[in-house]
Amino acid sequence: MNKPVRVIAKNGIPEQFYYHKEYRVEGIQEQWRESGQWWLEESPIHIYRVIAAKSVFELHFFPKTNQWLLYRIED
Amino acid sequence: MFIHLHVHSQYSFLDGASSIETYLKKAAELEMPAIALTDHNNVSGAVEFYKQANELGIKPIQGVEITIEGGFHLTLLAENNRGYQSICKILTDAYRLSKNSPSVSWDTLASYKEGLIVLTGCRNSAICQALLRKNFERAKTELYRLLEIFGKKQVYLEMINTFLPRTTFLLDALYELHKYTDIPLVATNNVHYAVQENYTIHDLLTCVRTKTNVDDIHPERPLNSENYLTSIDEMQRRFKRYPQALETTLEIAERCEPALNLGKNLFPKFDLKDGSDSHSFLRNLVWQGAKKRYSKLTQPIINRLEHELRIIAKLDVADYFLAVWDIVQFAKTKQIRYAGRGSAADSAVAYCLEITNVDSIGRGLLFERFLSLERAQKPDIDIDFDARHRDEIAHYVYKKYRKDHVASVCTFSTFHARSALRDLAKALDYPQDVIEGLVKNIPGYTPADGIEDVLKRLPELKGHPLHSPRYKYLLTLCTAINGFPRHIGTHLGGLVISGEPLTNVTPLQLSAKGVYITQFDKRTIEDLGLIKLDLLSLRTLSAVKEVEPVLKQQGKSYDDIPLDDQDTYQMLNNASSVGVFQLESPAQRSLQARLHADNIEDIVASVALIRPGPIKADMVEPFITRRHGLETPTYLHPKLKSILAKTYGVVLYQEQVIEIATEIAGFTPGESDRLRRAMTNYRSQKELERIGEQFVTKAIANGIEPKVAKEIFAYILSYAGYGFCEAHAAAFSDTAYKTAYLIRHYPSYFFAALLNHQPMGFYPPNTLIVHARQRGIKILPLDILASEIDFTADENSIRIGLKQVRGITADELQSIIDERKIRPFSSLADFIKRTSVNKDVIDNLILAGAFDRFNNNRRSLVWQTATLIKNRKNSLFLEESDFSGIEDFSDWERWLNEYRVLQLSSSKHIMDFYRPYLEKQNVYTSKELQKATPMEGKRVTVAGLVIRPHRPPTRSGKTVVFLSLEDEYGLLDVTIFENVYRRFSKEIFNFPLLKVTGKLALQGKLATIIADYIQPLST
Repeated sequence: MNKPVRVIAKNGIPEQFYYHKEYRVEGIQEQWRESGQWWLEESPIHIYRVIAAKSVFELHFFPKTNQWLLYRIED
Repeated sequence: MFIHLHVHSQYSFLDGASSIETYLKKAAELEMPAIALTDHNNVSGAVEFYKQANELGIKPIQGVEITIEGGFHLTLLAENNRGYQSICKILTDAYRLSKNSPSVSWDTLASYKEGLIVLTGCRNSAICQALLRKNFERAKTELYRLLEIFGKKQVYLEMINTFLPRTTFLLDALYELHKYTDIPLVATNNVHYAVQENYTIHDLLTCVRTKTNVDDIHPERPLNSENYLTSIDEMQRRFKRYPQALETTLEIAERCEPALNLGKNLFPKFDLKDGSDSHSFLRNLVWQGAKKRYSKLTQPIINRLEHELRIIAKLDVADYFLAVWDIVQFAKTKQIRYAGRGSAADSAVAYCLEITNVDSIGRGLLFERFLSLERAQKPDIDIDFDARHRDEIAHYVYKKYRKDHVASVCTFSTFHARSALRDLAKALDYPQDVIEGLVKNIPGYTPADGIEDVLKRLPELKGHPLHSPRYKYLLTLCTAINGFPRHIGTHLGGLVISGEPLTNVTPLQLSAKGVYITQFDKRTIEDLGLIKLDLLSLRTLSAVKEVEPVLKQQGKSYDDIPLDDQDTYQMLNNASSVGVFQLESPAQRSLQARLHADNIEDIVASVALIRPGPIKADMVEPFITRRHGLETPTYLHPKLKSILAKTYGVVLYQEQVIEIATEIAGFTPGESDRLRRAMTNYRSQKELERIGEQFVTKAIANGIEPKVAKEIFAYILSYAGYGFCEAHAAAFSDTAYKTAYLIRHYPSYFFAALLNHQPMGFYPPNTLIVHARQRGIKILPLDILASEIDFTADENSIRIGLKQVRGITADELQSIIDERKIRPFSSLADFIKRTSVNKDVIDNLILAGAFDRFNNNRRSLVWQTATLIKNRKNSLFLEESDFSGIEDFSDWERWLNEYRVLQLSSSKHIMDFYRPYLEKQNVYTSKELQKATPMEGKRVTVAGLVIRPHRPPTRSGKTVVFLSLEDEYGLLDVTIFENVYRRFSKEIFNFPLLKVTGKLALQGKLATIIADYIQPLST
C-alpha cells in the first residue's frame, strides 16, 4: 500500500496510528529492521506488524526522514 | 547493568569489522566494566585483548564461538585458566578434523568441558534453529545434550535481539524453554562491529568472505545493521520484556577469573642423560668451545663469558641455549650449512657454542644488546640454514620434542592497498577490467590507508583512475579495513617449543602448508610463556654448499677462506659485486666503488650503511669521507672516541648508542639498551623529553658538563632510530665477504650455483648470465644430451640446466635423465617416443634450442610435435617428417622464444639487436662508459633493459628513482631525481627498454648516469 500514516510511538514502538480512523495498537506481532541496499543509498527501515481491531497492520518507519508508511493490512 | 558477552573482533576473519582496541575504547565509553571476546573458532586476539583491557581497567573475559557438528554455533566462555585450556584443546581437535571448516564433535566437548560457561548461541545454534522450525522438542533435546555434558550451573540460554524477522517469536520461545528447564536467560548482541556506522564494512567483508557481491542475496547477509556494541540503555529497551537476561550478564562476568597466565617460562628443560643441571652443562660446553675458539683464554675473555653465563642463569634460559646448540649440532652432523644472525651474534656464549660465527669479544660487542636483566625479555636466536634442508631441521625439532610440543608460529595476512582494492571492488560488483585498472601501478608496499597519499606523491599515478571522485568512497572503505587480518598463515621460520603440551596455551591448527601453527603470531606468542626460535632458509647457503666440493678438491674449505684476500676487495672496489650476498644492489655497488674496502670491518660497515635509516640520517658520506682520512672525526667528549673510532666518529651501530649511554650517563648496559629502545619507540614528545631529562641528569651526575650532556643526547637521539645492530652486520658480512671470494676465485661454479637456487638475490637470472659472460665464462646453450637438470659448470663455462625450461615438471626432468642413461636420444622423434613429456614442454624445449644438435630449424621441429605426439603410443618407430623447406624463425624470433622459455639467453642479449641502430645515434654501451673517465660530467645517452626501478627513502625526503639499465656488457646505474621522475614517470615504470640521456658521473670506478631525459626504446 505504502500510504503515509500518522503514528504515535513511545520509544520507537507504535501505540496509535491513524488510517481513515484512529487505531490503538493492541500488540506487536513481529518487528524487524532492514538496513536497505546501502550501496544504492536506500534508507534503513523499521518494520512493525501490529495487531489492531482484529487485523494485522504492517507499518514501516524510516528513521532518516522520521516518516511512517502503512505497507499492508491483513484481515 | 549489562556486559557484552558475545563479541567478534577482526580475528573472526572477514566477519568482524572492528579492532579489539576499538571495542575496548567503546566499552570504556559505555562504562562497561567487563567485556568478552568470542571470535570464530580462534583465540588469536586473546593476548592483545587481555593486555589492552587491563590497561583500560576493563575485565577481559576470553571466549570463542565454535562450530559444532551439523554446522551449528555455540558460544563458550572461559571461567578461568582451566576453561581457556579447554578452549585451546577443543579448537585443536576441531581443526584436526578439517583445516578449512573446523567442526567440534560432541565427544570433544565432553572431553574438554572443564572451566567453561556455555551460552547456547546465536540464530545459527541448534536450539534456535529448532525453535524457529517450531520444533520445541528438538530444542529441548539439544539443550539437554549440553546440560548432560556441562551441568546446569554452566549453561545459559542466549537471547539476541537484533531485530531480525521472527526475533519476537524466537525470544518468546526461548523464554518458554527457560520456564520449562529453569535454565537462566542471558542477553547478548552478537556484536560484529563497534558502532552502527561500521555495518557497511561488515557487509562488504561478508561479501568477500562468501565470494558474493552486494547485489547477491545470501543467507549471511540479512541487511540488518543492529549487531553493534549497544549501550546499556539500548539493551534495556531491547530486553524490556526480559530484564533478567541483562542481569545475568553481570553474574557471568563476576564468575569469570582471568583466563590467561602470562609471563611464565614454558621452555622445556633440556634432556640431560647424565642428570646434571642445564646451567652446569651449558657452562661446560661454553668453556670447551672457548678453548677451541680462542688460542688463549685471557682474563677479559673469562670475565665476559662469566658475565654472560651469570645473566643466562639469572634469566633461567640455559635450556634455550642448549636447545639451539643441539639443533646446530644436528645440522653439523648432517653437514647442513648454517649461519647464526641477528643480535645473537652479540653473545660470546653463542660464539663458543658455534651458534654464531662472530667473535663478539674481539669485536667489542655488547651482550646486553641481545639479552639483559633490565630488559628481561626472552632470547630470540635466528639461524639461517641451507634452504634445501631447513625443513629437515624443523623435522628434527618436532621429533626430538614431540609434535604436540612444537609448532610453527602463525602470521596474519592483512589487507594492504592492492588486496583491499581488489576485494572491495569485487564485492561492489565492479567489472574485472575496471578492478585491474584500479590496482595497476599501486606499489605493493602501500598500506590500505595510504592510497590517497601515493596518488598524490607518485607522478606515474597522475592519470590513475582512482583520482576520480566516483572512487572516493572506495578509498574510504579501504582505509577502514587497513591492517585487518584476512587470513592466517605460517611464519617463514618461527618455531616454538614448549615443555608442556602447546594446547595448554594455544590452539593448534594445520596451515595450508601442512604444518601445525599456533593461533598467536610473533607479536604475542612470547607473552604466553613460549620462546620463539627462527629457523630460516637462506638460498645463499645452498649455493655455497654446492661450490664446496670444488674447494675441497683443492684442499680448501669455505670456513677457512682468508678474510684478507686483496683480490676479493679489489673486485668489490670495482663495483663488480653482482651475485655477492648483501653487496650487489646498485646502492651497495656505488658504496663499494667509493669506500675502497680493504678489510672485513669495511664490509661490516657496508652492510650497516646501506639501509633506509643511515641513508636518511646522512651517515654514508661522512663515513666515506672520514674513512679516507679526508675529514678528521670530532668527538663531543673524549669518552666517545673509543666507542666511535671504529666508525670514524659516525654513530652507525645500535651497540654504540648503548655504549655511549653507559659511558656518559652511567647507565648499566641493560638500562642503556632499554633507553635505546625507548628512544626509538617513543609515543609522544612528552615521553621523549622525559627520557632526555633522565639521560642528562645522570650524565651530569657522572661528571659531564650540562651543555655537552644535552648535545650528546641530541646526537644519539638522531641516530638511535637508524642504527643497525652491529652483531647482525658482522654475521652477514662474513657470508658477504666469503661469497665475494667465491665469485672472484670460482666464478663459473658460484654463478651456476646461484642460478640453481633462484629466486634469490637482487637480480634476475639473465643478469647473472650477463655478468658471468663478462667475466669470460662461456654460457653453453640448453642441450637435450649435454644439459643436466641443474646448471652445471667447469672452470670456464656454465651449461644451462633443463629445469630452467618453463613449465617442465620434476617428473619430466627425471624421466629425461633416466631415459638418457639407458641410451642417448638420437632425434626429436626418439625423444618423444621414449618420454612422456607433454607437448607444451616439448615445444618449449625446442624453442630453447635443446634439439638444435639434431636440427637447427626450430620452426620445422615445432611443426612436427603434434603429429609425433599423436603417434607416440601407436607406432613402434616414430619418424620425423621432412619440413626442411620451411623457413626457420628469424634471429629475433629465435632469441625472443628462447628468452620467453628460459628467462635468459645463452647467446645474445636483447640489446645486441638494437646496437647497430643505437651506434648510429651515438648511444654508448655500459662497457664504453666504465672506461670513459675523460667524459665525466658530459651528457651521454645509454640504453638497456630496465632492472629493478625502486624509490628508497632519501635524506631529503624527495623522491629519487634508482634503476639499472642492462645491456650486452653489463649494468649501468641510473639516478633519476624528482623533477625528471615527474616528467617521465610513465616511461620509467611501464616500458621494459629505455633510452636515457644524462650526465655521466663517476663514483670511484663506477659510472652512473644522472638522467635528464628518458624515452622508451621501441621493440
